[in-house]
Amino acid sequence: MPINPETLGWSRAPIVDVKTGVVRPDFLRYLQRLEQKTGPTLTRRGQIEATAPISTRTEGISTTVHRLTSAGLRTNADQVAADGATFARVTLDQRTGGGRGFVALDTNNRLANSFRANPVNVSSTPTSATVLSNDGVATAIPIAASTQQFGAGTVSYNSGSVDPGVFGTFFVYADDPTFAGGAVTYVFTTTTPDQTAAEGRVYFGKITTSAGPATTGGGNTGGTTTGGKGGKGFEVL
Amino acid sequence: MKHTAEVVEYKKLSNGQFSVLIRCCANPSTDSWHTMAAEVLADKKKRKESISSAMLRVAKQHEDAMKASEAGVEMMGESKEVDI
Repeated sequence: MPINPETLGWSRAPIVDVKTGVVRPDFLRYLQRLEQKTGPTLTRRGQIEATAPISTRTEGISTTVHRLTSAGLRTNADQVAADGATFARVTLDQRTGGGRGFVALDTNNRLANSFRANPVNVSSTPTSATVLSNDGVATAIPIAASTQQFGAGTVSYNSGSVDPGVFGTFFVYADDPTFAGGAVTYVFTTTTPDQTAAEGRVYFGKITTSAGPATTGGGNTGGTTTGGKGGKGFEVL
Repeated sequence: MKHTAEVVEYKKLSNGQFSVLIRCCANPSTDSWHTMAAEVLADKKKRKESISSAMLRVAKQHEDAMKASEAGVEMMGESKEVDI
């Protein structure tokens, strides 16, 4: 931005009154304005005063630049964002790169906790004995509200239900990629690999239903269904 | 107590199944997904029965939750003197 200096039209006249030898008012006013501007901003040695603010700012220039070295570099890599916590550029490409790593990794370069992993890879134990049930009359399989114990903590899921329309043996799962819990969409399947067919998959167990007897499944025991327990990576007594 | 369960959302899953979100008394904390095979949805009678039983389940759970909450409030202030 160009700097427009004060015009010096007054200087076309003599600086001092030739008759009286007194300095002319125009010149005095010029000196006064000059002193008003330079007095607070320059030292006697011609250096910029530390308290001099930059135009449109209120803090002194020493505050503005004190985290810069004499070479004009930042004193350290933390001096990036004003919030003192955002150490990467806040553009999307940075957040999806280093910024995410900063949040997800610990000081040993391992995942900060198992909630930073994909659910399909994380061990979990249902806290209830059974979660799935069927009354032997309808084909619907109610899924009780349940809690899964993960290494990093527990996650609670709302109840739900699935209705395959027929009796049989079914795996029940839901996709919860961020361990958010709550109301998840439960899905049933008879295809074994479906249990691990998505990164966010949380497994609620297996149940065998049939017309007649009421049955249960899932949870940490599997109920009446052999091998029906939910979760993964745990054993039962 | 009277409860009103209603379907507030519907979606088709990538595996061909269909899910409806059931909410009781307009309270989001009661949200519960009910997933049905396409064959159930295609058959009007089966679909009605299936969704109806899911709604009943959600309403019952809401009632139980409310009763539990009331019981919790009633317990406030309960005390027992014990000589040891």
